[in-house]
Amino acid sequence: MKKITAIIADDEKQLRLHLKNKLNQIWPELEICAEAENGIEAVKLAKKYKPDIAFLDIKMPGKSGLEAAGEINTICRIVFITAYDRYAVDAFKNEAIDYILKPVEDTRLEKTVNRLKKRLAVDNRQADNSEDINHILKKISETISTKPENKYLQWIKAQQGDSIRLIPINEITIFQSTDKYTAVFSKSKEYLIRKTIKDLETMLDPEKFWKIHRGTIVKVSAITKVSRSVTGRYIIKVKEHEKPIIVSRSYIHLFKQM
Amino acid sequence: MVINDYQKHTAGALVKEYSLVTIFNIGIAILLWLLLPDKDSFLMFLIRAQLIGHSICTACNILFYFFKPATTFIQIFLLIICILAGSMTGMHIFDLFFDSTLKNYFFTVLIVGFFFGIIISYFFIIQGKYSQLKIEKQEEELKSISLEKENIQANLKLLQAQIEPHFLFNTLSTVLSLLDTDSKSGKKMLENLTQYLRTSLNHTRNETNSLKQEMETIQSYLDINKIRMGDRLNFKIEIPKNLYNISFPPMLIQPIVENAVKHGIEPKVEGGIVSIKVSGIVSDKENVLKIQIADTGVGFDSNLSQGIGLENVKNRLEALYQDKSSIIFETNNPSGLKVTIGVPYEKDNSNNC
Repeated sequence: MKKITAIIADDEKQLRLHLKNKLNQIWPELEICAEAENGIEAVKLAKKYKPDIAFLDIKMPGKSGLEAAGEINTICRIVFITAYDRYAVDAFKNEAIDYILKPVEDTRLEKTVNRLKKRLAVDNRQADNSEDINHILKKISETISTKPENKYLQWIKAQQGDSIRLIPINEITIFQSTDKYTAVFSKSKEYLIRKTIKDLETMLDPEKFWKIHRGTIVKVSAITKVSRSVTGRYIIKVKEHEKPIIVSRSYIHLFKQM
Repeated sequence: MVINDYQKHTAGALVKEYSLVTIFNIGIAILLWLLLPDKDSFLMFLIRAQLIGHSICTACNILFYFFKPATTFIQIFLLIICILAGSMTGMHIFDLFFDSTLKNYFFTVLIVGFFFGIIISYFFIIQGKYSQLKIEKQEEELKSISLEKENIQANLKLLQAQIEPHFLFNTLSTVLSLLDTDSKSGKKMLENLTQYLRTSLNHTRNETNSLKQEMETIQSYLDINKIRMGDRLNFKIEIPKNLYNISFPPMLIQPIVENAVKHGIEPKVEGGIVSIKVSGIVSDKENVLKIQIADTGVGFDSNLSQGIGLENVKNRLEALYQDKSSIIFETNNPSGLKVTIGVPYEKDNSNNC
């Protein structure tokens, strides 16, 4: 009978070693043919060795275990390794995907190994409906993403001498276009950026930032006073900013709702 | 938003005001009735006093509504005009309807009206100021309550954010695996974890630390990660000995170091370096402690959310030092992020030990 082979991918060497030892005790017939320390390497090794099983840690640099699985689940059966991802574990259970919890416990690992043996006896490939699996993997990776990406701009990058300053968006009160650049006002300081008011308009949260003039965007919560001039124009004052700003006629409707 | 913030006259306030004026007018009527020698019926006195008093009050309301006087000087000036105009109008209306001997006491009435007018108007101004003070006080109380609430919530969030389950479980699995292969390293790691947890948990009880203790906690955290990540993580901490004993809020910069490892180095295949540099800048005015946390990690995207940890650091800096603190984010060269925190500090007076 052909020997069953596996690869282990985990960015922590100590944990790879540990899992390898444990597997050795519980499943001595299993041959670990390669070890990967990141997701990219895992994909490469899986393609090279075509193992029966790939043990993939979910959180890895380069490519996450979920991303790597999406590329190699037609080659081998996937077993995920995870330390603490409640959502992922729930999803794995629901979708009957194999997983190992860190720290690795003997009894649990035995259970997983027994199930793997049974499944491999029937069919040594992952389920045929790989498209479904990919869909599930994508869904899981969205729910456990550690990098909460935001739809709107969260930081403004501005050149300051040799370095690039990152200004949190909620500290900015005014964007104002000048000849070539856009001036950004934050905590009584002024920075210049290349992004135009037109660019910024679509990148900023319209609930928090209002364009009040062709060349001006202000933070709504930084407006301290709204007054009307004799001619009926709206004039606003903004926190930490002495000069009053005139609201262009085409944007007056923003203030009339108040 | 303040568009029209001048005292708003609600219907209730107006009723109260006019009732008070009515009572006051009765008083004036009685006084004049007793004082003046040429006795007419008390009813005449009463009607006349009511007419004058209410005219003054109405004049005040109209004038103050339109002019919104800013200074006390203008207020008094307007008040005098109101009293003069109100007295004249009141007396004129009275004369139109009633033929009384009181007509002869034009100046006496004017002077008495003036005198009482000033008193009652002043009474109203003081009352207005008092109620405004009350409102301000209430607002202040409300603000402090919501601030307290925010603090509690921030603490709770901090606790959740600080001891990240992922980190805890990962560390425990490493410790467990080390017990089989390298028990000495496992023991060391457990010690580091204990130190880290102790400071993390103590923080919620608002204890103060020395800068040295804070750096030791950071060292523990980095040591744990060093064992986990091996060659992928390197770090250095530079702190001058004379700054060891200055007091420093616990877990203030820890979240930044954790961010550097978690979002900077960990996602990078080849890993990187975290460097922490503390320096004290002494000047005549105040001493500034500068703490720089730099990593050579992946840096970050403009759309990356600030995260609870960072938001907490900013809130705590604000709460502890107001505008005396600073936090600057820059890109690090050649890659990664550099965070510089500046806070004022008291020079250590204890003997150097």
